[in-house]
Amino acid sequence: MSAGGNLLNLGIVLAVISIMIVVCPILSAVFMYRGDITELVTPNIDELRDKIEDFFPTVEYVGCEVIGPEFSMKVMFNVTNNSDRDFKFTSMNFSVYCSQHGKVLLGYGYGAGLPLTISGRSSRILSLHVIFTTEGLIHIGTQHRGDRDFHAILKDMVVVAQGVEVKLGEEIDVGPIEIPP
Amino acid sequence: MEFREVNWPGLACSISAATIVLLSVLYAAPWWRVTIGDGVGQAEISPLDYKASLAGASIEVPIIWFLNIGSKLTMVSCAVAMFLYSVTTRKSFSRQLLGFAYKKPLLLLGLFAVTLVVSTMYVETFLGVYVPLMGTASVLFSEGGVTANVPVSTSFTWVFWLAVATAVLALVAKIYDLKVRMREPCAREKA
Repeated sequence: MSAGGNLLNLGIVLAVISIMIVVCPILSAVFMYRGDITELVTPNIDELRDKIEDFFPTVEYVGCEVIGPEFSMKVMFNVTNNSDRDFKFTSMNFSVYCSQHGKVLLGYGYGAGLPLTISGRSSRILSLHVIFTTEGLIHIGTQHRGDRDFHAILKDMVVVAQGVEVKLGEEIDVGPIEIPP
Repeated sequence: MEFREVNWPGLACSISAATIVLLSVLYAAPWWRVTIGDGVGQAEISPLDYKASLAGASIEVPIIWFLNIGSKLTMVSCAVAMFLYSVTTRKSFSRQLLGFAYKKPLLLLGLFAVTLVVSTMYVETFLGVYVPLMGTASVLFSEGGVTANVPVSTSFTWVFWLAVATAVLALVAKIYDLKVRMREPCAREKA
């Protein structure tokens, strides 16, 4: 065969290789997923949803107590990390209102002992510390002194966890709290 | 083979193409990386590899694995053909090897860039989420009274710049080849 013929052959071989290296993987993918071709182009949504749900820890209210002598309050939650990875709370801020007299601002709170890292598949107590304002202290002193069933509402909660800032629209009712006489 | 007969940009291109494949096989080295929050999500993407996770869950799309295989084979064929061409520039078949090899890194890089730009534009248009190609942005999500401010940062890795260098070297190899071939008839005429 002439040199020109060999060159032509090489050109054809190279062109075939060019096409094969692109087409063959796609064809084999289509062949392997011929039963349900949508599986080939979409992730497993159900499995993904389950794992994503596990990523967010479950929070359970434990209790709260008024601590003196400066008259502040400690609210405790049990946080369970259901995933295999660590979960980190960096900061937490919120306002505290009287549950009975909804518009009365009692004080402000923050997460104590933060940052808090909860290891995978474990639980830890997350403490929130509440500092009452002067008006809040007067309200409790005049309206709720000696109450055994006082409830407070945590509002405008801003949580920073895993580098993401989350503003919770939901109000959290905490109680019953025993107010000293 | 004489040293002056070697197409040095072509040889460098074949070495960098081989390095990209090797980095992919050994370390799944990405070209572009996106990080969501502090370990909330991450994606490491290149035409040769794909790895993405959200909230600890791995997001696997099977077709991407097969496309990655195609891209790896493309880069391997480029490295081999470019190497053979570079050391046999005077042979009759060398031009065909060059024609086969030089377009491949350009094509891969171009397709990757277009896919990346189109994907980020798609996400912004249809999901209302701005994801920069390079840098940091804050993405605001709101649902059921909960508002989340999610920091998203993206960056090109050094492997991407190696891929850019490979594409440039492939182009330079082609130009170098044209120059050499144009010079040859002139030299023959002078002789």
